[in-house]
Amino acid sequence: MIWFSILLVFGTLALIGVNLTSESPDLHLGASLIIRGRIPWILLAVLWGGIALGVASLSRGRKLPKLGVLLLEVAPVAFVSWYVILGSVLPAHALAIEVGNPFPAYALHDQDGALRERAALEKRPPALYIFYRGHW
Amino acid sequence: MSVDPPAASRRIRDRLNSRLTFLADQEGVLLDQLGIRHRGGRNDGVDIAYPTAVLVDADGVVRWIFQSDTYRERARAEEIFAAIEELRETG
Repeated sequence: MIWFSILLVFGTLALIGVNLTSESPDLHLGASLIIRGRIPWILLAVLWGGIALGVASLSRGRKLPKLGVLLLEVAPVAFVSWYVILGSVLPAHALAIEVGNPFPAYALHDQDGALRERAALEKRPPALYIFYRGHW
Repeated sequence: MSVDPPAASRRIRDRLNSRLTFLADQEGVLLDQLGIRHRGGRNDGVDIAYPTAVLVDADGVVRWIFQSDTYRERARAEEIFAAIEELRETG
Protein backbone atom coordinates (compact mmCIF):
# COMPACT_ATOMS: atom_id res chain seq x y z
CA MET A 1 0.00 0.00 0.00
CA ILE A 2 2.87 2.37 0.73
CA TRP A 3 4.13 1.75 -2.80
CA PHE A 4 0.82 2.88 -4.27
CA SER A 5 1.04 5.92 -2.07
CA ILE A 6 4.54 6.70 -3.37
CA LEU A 7 3.42 6.13 -6.95
CA LEU A 8 0.41 8.39 -6.67
CA VAL A 9 2.10 11.23 -4.81
CA PHE A 10 5.54 11.35 -6.38
CA GLY A 11 4.28 10.30 -9.79
CA THR A 12 1.82 13.19 -9.80
CA LEU A 13 4.43 15.63 -8.49
CA ALA A 14 6.80 14.49 -11.25
CA LEU A 15 4.07 15.04 -13.83
CA ILE A 16 3.50 18.56 -12.54
CA GLY A 17 7.24 19.20 -12.62
CA VAL A 18 7.57 18.05 -16.22
CA ASN A 19 4.67 20.21 -17.31
CA LEU A 20 6.04 23.26 -15.57
CA THR A 21 9.57 22.92 -16.88
CA SER A 22 9.23 21.36 -20.31
CA GLU A 23 8.77 23.49 -23.39
CA SER A 24 7.89 20.48 -25.49
CA PRO A 25 4.11 19.95 -25.77
CA ASP A 26 4.81 16.26 -26.36
CA LEU A 27 5.79 15.96 -22.71
CA HIS A 28 2.58 17.51 -21.41
CA LEU A 29 1.10 14.16 -20.52
CA GLY A 30 -2.52 15.10 -20.04
CA ALA A 31 -1.67 17.31 -17.10
CA SER A 32 -3.76 20.11 -18.55
CA LEU A 33 -6.76 17.86 -18.02
CA ILE A 34 -6.10 17.05 -14.40
CA ILE A 35 -4.97 20.55 -13.46
CA ARG A 36 -7.64 22.37 -15.44
CA GLY A 37 -9.97 24.77 -13.72
CA ARG A 38 -9.97 27.23 -10.86
CA ILE A 39 -9.28 24.44 -8.35
CA PRO A 40 -7.93 21.22 -9.89
CA TRP A 41 -9.97 18.80 -7.84
CA ILE A 42 -8.73 15.72 -9.70
CA LEU A 43 -5.15 16.68 -8.97
CA LEU A 44 -5.89 17.26 -5.29
CA ALA A 45 -7.87 14.00 -5.07
CA VAL A 46 -4.96 12.02 -6.50
CA LEU A 47 -2.45 13.62 -4.15
CA TRP A 48 -4.54 13.33 -1.02
CA GLY A 49 -5.60 9.83 -2.01
CA GLY A 50 -1.93 8.93 -2.08
CA ILE A 51 -1.47 10.41 1.39
CA ALA A 52 -4.49 8.45 2.63
CA LEU A 53 -3.03 5.22 1.28
CA GLY A 54 0.20 6.00 3.06
CA VAL A 55 -1.63 6.57 6.34
CA ALA A 56 -3.58 3.36 5.85
CA SER A 57 -0.35 1.45 5.29
CA LEU A 58 0.73 2.31 8.85
CA SER A 59 -1.78 -0.22 10.19
CA ARG A 60 0.41 -3.10 8.99
CA GLY A 61 4.08 -3.93 9.10
CA ARG A 62 6.93 -1.69 10.18
CA LYS A 63 5.76 1.82 10.82
CA LEU A 64 8.97 3.83 11.00
CA PRO A 65 10.03 3.66 7.33
CA LYS A 66 6.47 4.29 6.20
CA LEU A 67 6.25 7.26 8.52
CA GLY A 68 9.40 8.61 6.94
CA VAL A 69 7.88 8.29 3.48
CA LEU A 70 4.72 9.99 4.66
CA LEU A 71 6.66 12.91 6.07
CA LEU A 72 8.39 13.31 2.70
CA GLU A 73 5.03 13.27 0.94
CA VAL A 74 3.07 15.60 3.19
CA ALA A 75 5.21 18.71 2.68
CA PRO A 76 5.02 18.90 -1.13
CA VAL A 77 1.36 17.86 -1.16
CA ALA A 78 0.53 20.52 1.41
CA PHE A 79 2.43 23.11 -0.63
CA VAL A 80 0.70 22.17 -3.89
CA SER A 81 -2.68 22.20 -2.16
CA TRP A 82 -2.05 25.62 -0.66
CA TYR A 83 -0.71 26.95 -3.97
CA VAL A 84 -3.66 25.90 -6.14
CA ILE A 85 -6.29 26.94 -3.59
CA LEU A 86 -4.81 30.14 -2.18
CA GLY A 87 -1.22 30.80 -3.26
CA SER A 88 -1.88 31.61 -6.91
CA VAL A 89 -4.89 33.85 -6.30
CA LEU A 90 -4.53 37.35 -7.72
CA PRO A 91 -5.34 40.50 -5.75
CA ALA A 92 -8.96 41.59 -6.02
CA HIS A 93 -9.43 44.25 -8.67
CA ALA A 94 -12.24 45.75 -10.71
CA LEU A 95 -12.34 45.77 -14.49
CA ALA A 96 -12.79 49.22 -15.97
CA ILE A 97 -14.83 47.91 -18.90
CA GLU A 98 -17.69 45.49 -19.37
CA VAL A 99 -19.48 43.78 -22.22
CA GLY A 100 -21.15 46.41 -24.38
CA ASN A 101 -18.49 49.07 -23.81
CA PRO A 102 -16.32 50.33 -26.67
CA PHE A 103 -12.81 48.90 -26.67
CA PRO A 104 -10.35 51.72 -25.94
CA ALA A 105 -8.30 53.31 -28.70
CA TYR A 106 -4.64 52.39 -28.76
CA ALA A 107 -1.39 53.07 -30.62
CA LEU A 108 1.13 50.36 -29.74
CA HIS A 109 4.18 48.83 -31.37
CA ASP A 110 4.06 45.23 -32.50
CA GLN A 111 6.79 42.60 -32.24
CA ASP A 112 8.57 44.05 -35.29
CA GLY A 113 8.44 47.62 -34.02
CA ALA A 114 5.67 48.70 -36.39
CA LEU A 115 3.02 51.01 -34.95
CA ARG A 116 -0.45 49.46 -34.76
CA GLU A 117 -3.37 51.78 -34.11
CA ARG A 118 -7.04 51.42 -33.52
CA ALA A 119 -9.54 54.17 -32.81
CA ALA A 120 -12.42 53.55 -30.42
CA LEU A 121 -15.43 52.10 -32.25
CA GLU A 122 -13.34 51.84 -35.42
CA LYS A 123 -14.89 49.37 -37.80
CA ARG A 124 -12.64 46.45 -38.68
CA PRO A 125 -12.82 42.61 -38.43
CA PRO A 126 -13.56 41.25 -34.96
CA ALA A 127 -10.50 40.71 -32.82
CA LEU A 128 -9.51 38.73 -29.75
CA TYR A 129 -7.13 40.56 -27.43
CA ILE A 130 -5.23 38.32 -25.02
CA PHE A 131 -3.40 40.08 -22.23
CA TYR A 132 -0.70 37.89 -20.75
CA ARG A 133 1.71 38.44 -17.92
CA GLY A 134 4.77 38.52 -20.16
CA HIS A 135 8.30 37.50 -19.43
CA TRP A 136 8.98 36.54 -15.83
CA MET B 1 -0.57 42.12 -25.41
CA SER B 2 1.86 42.50 -22.58
CA VAL B 3 4.22 45.04 -21.06
CA ASP B 4 7.16 43.26 -22.69
CA PRO B 5 9.16 45.32 -25.21
CA PRO B 6 8.73 44.39 -28.91
CA ALA B 7 12.00 42.42 -29.02
CA ALA B 8 10.91 40.18 -26.14
CA SER B 9 7.54 39.63 -27.78
CA ARG B 10 9.23 38.70 -31.05
CA ARG B 11 11.34 36.09 -29.27
CA ILE B 12 8.22 34.55 -27.77
CA ARG B 13 6.42 34.63 -31.08
CA ASP B 14 9.36 32.99 -32.84
CA ARG B 15 9.68 30.34 -30.16
CA LEU B 16 5.98 29.52 -30.42
CA ASN B 17 6.15 29.68 -34.21
CA SER B 18 3.04 31.85 -34.00
CA ARG B 19 1.42 34.11 -36.58
CA LEU B 20 -0.36 36.18 -33.97
CA THR B 21 0.36 39.88 -33.60
CA PHE B 22 2.06 40.74 -30.32
CA LEU B 23 1.55 44.30 -29.10
CA ALA B 24 3.73 46.02 -26.50
CA ASP B 25 1.94 48.12 -23.91
CA GLN B 26 5.11 48.98 -22.06
CA GLU B 27 3.66 51.96 -20.20
CA GLY B 28 0.48 50.09 -19.35
CA VAL B 29 -1.75 52.75 -20.91
CA LEU B 30 -4.23 50.22 -22.25
CA LEU B 31 -3.96 48.18 -19.06
CA ASP B 32 -5.12 51.21 -17.08
CA GLN B 33 -8.00 51.90 -19.44
CA LEU B 34 -9.18 48.32 -19.03
CA GLY B 35 -8.45 48.16 -15.31
CA ILE B 36 -6.14 45.17 -15.63
CA ARG B 37 -2.84 46.57 -14.37
CA HIS B 38 -1.35 44.24 -11.75
CA ARG B 39 0.83 46.55 -9.70
CA GLY B 40 4.11 44.90 -8.75
CA GLY B 41 2.89 41.66 -10.28
CA ARG B 42 6.24 40.58 -11.68
CA ASN B 43 8.92 39.11 -9.43
CA ASP B 44 11.05 42.26 -9.78
CA GLY B 45 8.15 44.52 -8.86
CA VAL B 46 7.30 45.62 -12.41
CA ASP B 47 3.61 46.16 -13.21
CA ILE B 48 2.17 43.59 -15.57
CA ALA B 49 -1.27 42.64 -16.88
CA TYR B 50 -3.83 40.51 -15.13
CA PRO B 51 -4.42 37.60 -17.51
CA THR B 52 -7.44 38.68 -19.52
CA ALA B 53 -9.07 37.90 -22.84
CA VAL B 54 -11.38 40.38 -24.60
CA LEU B 55 -13.40 39.69 -27.75
CA VAL B 56 -14.22 42.82 -29.76
CA ASP B 57 -16.74 42.87 -32.59
CA ALA B 58 -16.52 44.59 -35.97
CA ASP B 59 -17.91 47.83 -34.48
CA GLY B 60 -15.24 47.99 -31.80
CA VAL B 61 -17.59 46.93 -29.02
CA VAL B 62 -16.57 44.47 -26.29
CA ARG B 63 -18.63 41.30 -26.61
CA TRP B 64 -16.93 38.85 -24.24
CA ILE B 65 -14.42 39.06 -21.44
CA PHE B 66 -12.56 36.30 -19.63
CA GLN B 67 -10.67 36.83 -16.43
CA SER B 68 -9.87 34.48 -13.58
CA ASP B 69 -8.94 35.26 -9.99
CA THR B 70 -5.83 33.12 -10.32
CA TYR B 71 -2.90 33.44 -12.67
CA ARG B 72 -2.94 29.68 -13.26
CA GLU B 73 -6.15 29.79 -15.22
CA ARG B 74 -6.57 31.00 -18.79
CA ALA B 75 -9.50 31.08 -21.16
CA ARG B 76 -9.77 27.64 -22.68
CA ALA B 77 -9.89 27.22 -26.44
CA GLU B 78 -13.45 25.87 -26.31
CA GLU B 79 -14.60 28.91 -24.31
CA ILE B 80 -13.03 31.27 -26.83
CA PHE B 81 -14.48 29.43 -29.80
CA ALA B 82 -17.92 29.42 -28.18
CA ALA B 83 -17.72 33.20 -27.72
CA ILE B 84 -16.63 33.66 -31.32
CA GLU B 85 -19.43 31.41 -32.54
CA GLU B 86 -21.97 33.38 -30.53
CA LEU B 87 -20.62 36.59 -32.02
CA ARG B 88 -20.98 35.16 -35.51
CA GLU B 89 -24.58 34.13 -34.84
CA THR B 90 -25.70 37.34 -33.20
CA GLY B 91 -23.67 39.69 -35.36
